[in-house]
Amino acid sequence: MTEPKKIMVLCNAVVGSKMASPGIRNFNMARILQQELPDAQVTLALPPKLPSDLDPNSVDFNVAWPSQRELLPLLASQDIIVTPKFPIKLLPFALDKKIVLDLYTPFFTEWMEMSKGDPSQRHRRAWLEPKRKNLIAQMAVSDLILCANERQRDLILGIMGTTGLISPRAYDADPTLERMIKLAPLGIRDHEPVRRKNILKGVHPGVKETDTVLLWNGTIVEWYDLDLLVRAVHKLSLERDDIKLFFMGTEHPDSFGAKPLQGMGGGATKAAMELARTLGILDTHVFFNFGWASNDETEQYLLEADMGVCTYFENLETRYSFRVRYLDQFWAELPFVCTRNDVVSEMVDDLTLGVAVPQGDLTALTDAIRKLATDRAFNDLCRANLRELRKLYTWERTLAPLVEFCRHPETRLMRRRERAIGIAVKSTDWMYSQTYYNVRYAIQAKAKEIMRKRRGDL
Amino acid sequence: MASKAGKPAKRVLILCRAVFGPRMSSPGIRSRHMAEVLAEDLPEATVTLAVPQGSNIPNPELLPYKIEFFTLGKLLGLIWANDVIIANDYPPLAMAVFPWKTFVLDYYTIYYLEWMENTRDEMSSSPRKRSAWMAGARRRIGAELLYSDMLTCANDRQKDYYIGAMIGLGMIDPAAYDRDPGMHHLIEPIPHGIRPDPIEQPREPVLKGVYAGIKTTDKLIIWNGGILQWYDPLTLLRALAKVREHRDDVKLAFVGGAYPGLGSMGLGKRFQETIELAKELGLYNRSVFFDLTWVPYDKIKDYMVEADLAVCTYFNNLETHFSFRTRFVDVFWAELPLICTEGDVLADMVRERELGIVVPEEDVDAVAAAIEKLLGDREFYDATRLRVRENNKAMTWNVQFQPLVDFCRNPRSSALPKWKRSIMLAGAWSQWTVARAIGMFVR
Repeated sequence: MTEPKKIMVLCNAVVGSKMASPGIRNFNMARILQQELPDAQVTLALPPKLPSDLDPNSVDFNVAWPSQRELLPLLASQDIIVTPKFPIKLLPFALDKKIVLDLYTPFFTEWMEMSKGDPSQRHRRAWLEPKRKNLIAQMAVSDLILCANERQRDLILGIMGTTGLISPRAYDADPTLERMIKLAPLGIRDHEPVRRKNILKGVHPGVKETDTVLLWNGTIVEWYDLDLLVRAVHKLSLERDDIKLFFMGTEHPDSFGAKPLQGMGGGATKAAMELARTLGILDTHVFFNFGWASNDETEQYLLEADMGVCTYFENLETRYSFRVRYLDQFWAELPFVCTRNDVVSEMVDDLTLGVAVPQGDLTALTDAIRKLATDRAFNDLCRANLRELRKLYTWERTLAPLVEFCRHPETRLMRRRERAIGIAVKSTDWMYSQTYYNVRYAIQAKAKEIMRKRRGDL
Repeated sequence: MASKAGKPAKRVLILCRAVFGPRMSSPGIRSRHMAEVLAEDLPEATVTLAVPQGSNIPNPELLPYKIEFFTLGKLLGLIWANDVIIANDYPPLAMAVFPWKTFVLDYYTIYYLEWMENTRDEMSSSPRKRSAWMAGARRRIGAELLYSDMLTCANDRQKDYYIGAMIGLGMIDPAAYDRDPGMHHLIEPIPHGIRPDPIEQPREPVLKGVYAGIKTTDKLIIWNGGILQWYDPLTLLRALAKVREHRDDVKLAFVGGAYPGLGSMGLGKRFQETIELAKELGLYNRSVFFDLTWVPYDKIKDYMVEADLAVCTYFNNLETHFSFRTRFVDVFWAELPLICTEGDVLADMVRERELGIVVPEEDVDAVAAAIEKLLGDREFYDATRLRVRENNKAMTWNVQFQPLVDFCRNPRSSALPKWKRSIMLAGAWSQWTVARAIGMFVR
């Protein structure tokens, strides 16, 4: 008898009753892999520093919270490792493993947006460079790369083609590079939506049973255009009193440990609240649910709402994104009001799932909200179309390429020697940039912190 | 120089390093139309088109732009004398000499993948040599990307690829990103346009009634352009053999074989296979004809006008995924319905706007059915032609080159400032030199 295949999903985000997209994706990967490959031994490895209320007994796969020391032996015992980011210092030990790199977002464009507020461009660049090089090093060792849409795939091909990761040998073995880079978008929740007792309409102070609720069903991050949305709601509030905007959560589950409104997206949230207050619609038309909605709460919000809204800008982050909140809208059949330029907004236009509007266009946005609020037939049509689309986005379907790979992990396209050279070159490159950053900024910051503490002690 | 808000360019140089003249392929054609549009839209600027020494241009003084014949020695002087330089193939060293000039790189194909496909056959005898050659090619592309202030490509998919390439090279500057988060001043798609000439009946026939075997009453299918490795004419031949069972008035002409200035390109393995299969199926010179010389750019119009239908079949692979087939634009110009394989952006357009019929790859029955439909259903055929004509209005060179015109008016680049690129540039250039040297010695 052969040994059972050991597969590990290495996750660096929170998994539990409250989780954001990376956690949701990794959890489902472990779940689907165990379900489809019952003979394999699937382990979901979670970061020990982040709190998790996941009960290992409630799931079929193993769950581990390996400390830094435990990680290496755990990795060494696996056959296949699926991760959005392999610990770069352990890469030399991954030479004989099959590695699946999960780029459900191209990361680089997100970092660019996240670091926008950085007062020093020099610091920002120094911070970005090691991250960029780390990403390239990850690509150099992967046997399979997963991405969420065609645009991401083209982008990844561009990165790999230019950094020497598509060799003639690899190309000949797979001229379409379809074995190397596969589409595996996000999926929807794995159970049917069931509407229970209202927790928002007629319950939340200020939201009446008969109101039309616009749901912001995800995190608030710097790259969203909350300003425009709040203004649109204000404009509508002048003509009618029943349109309410509800932000589902203000605290990103992955910024654990931050003080309220100090973590990821805190600044953007505060700015939106301030604007709503100035316009006099805070807590009358615009509501914030502080903290983060649990899974069950999220489901009820989705089912009670009349439309999902999300506004952002035309930029590279948008161009390559596939937002997980949209999958929840598929699941709950919740019509869309969103900005154009991403892949899902094209689907919104082509398949009539709601209304997509140009960036920064207040009139178009208010018109779109008004249309979905008043035109019942259109709203129902969007819901019917979403019901059809939903079927294509079960995790079983979207993760099929991953399951297929784990079932038959093909001989890798790159030879061991090529791979070793790749690791050496790319991680040296990374080390150079990381060291620069550490010496120039990180150590300095640490020293300042220690000094401050000492002064505080005195 | 890559500046935040540039002054309008006074002197624009278009550098065409490929064959230019009556018999030219896409780089030459693109340069010519680029010069025309820029000269028209930038009346305040001097537009110079530099073409290889010895190019045949009748009456250059009548053109709205200046013509220069360049040699390698003259090249530096030409770059020196201009503000914005546009080319799709730079001598990297020339770019290094003038860091304050603005360089536009006009890449309308994914060269790395195209060369990968080309060398597969040509260098099949020596994988090591091919590896070394490709390593050099990759560095050369990297160096050109690093030198350029603006990149133009042919479609959105190519834009995604080249944004990836820029990320790979570390060329996305955070400060520029804040000013231009869509990176429109770094990479913009400029698809090939449709020539402005009106459609005229040819003065003398070129195919129908000329080739023994193509009667004037026959229905003529045209294959426009060379038969390169990634094309699939065999499926078309098999489909034609099928159509021939019902009707024998359908003829196919392959027009354009050997590429100008590129040696035996276009007469390789795939071409030989095509001839052989045509003979085997008994179609050669009966239903299928080969016009192997590269038809002059002006003359090709007559071929298109004479044809009833255009077909192009290929494989749905990576080359197809990224490509914008320049051979299609003349087909569109002549308002011909097109049968093509799915997978590229133009096939998507043909399907969405019903400009012809899109078929799956290697599907003989689908191709045969499509031919019979378009040649059998007069009403459908006429309606398709009308849709093609309507669609052409949005695809003229004037429309397509707009981003480039805007860039010349206001050359602000979102590339990393050049002084920040200098170390990377030095690295890329030396890597390229080393890789090229290795490529020379590896057998």
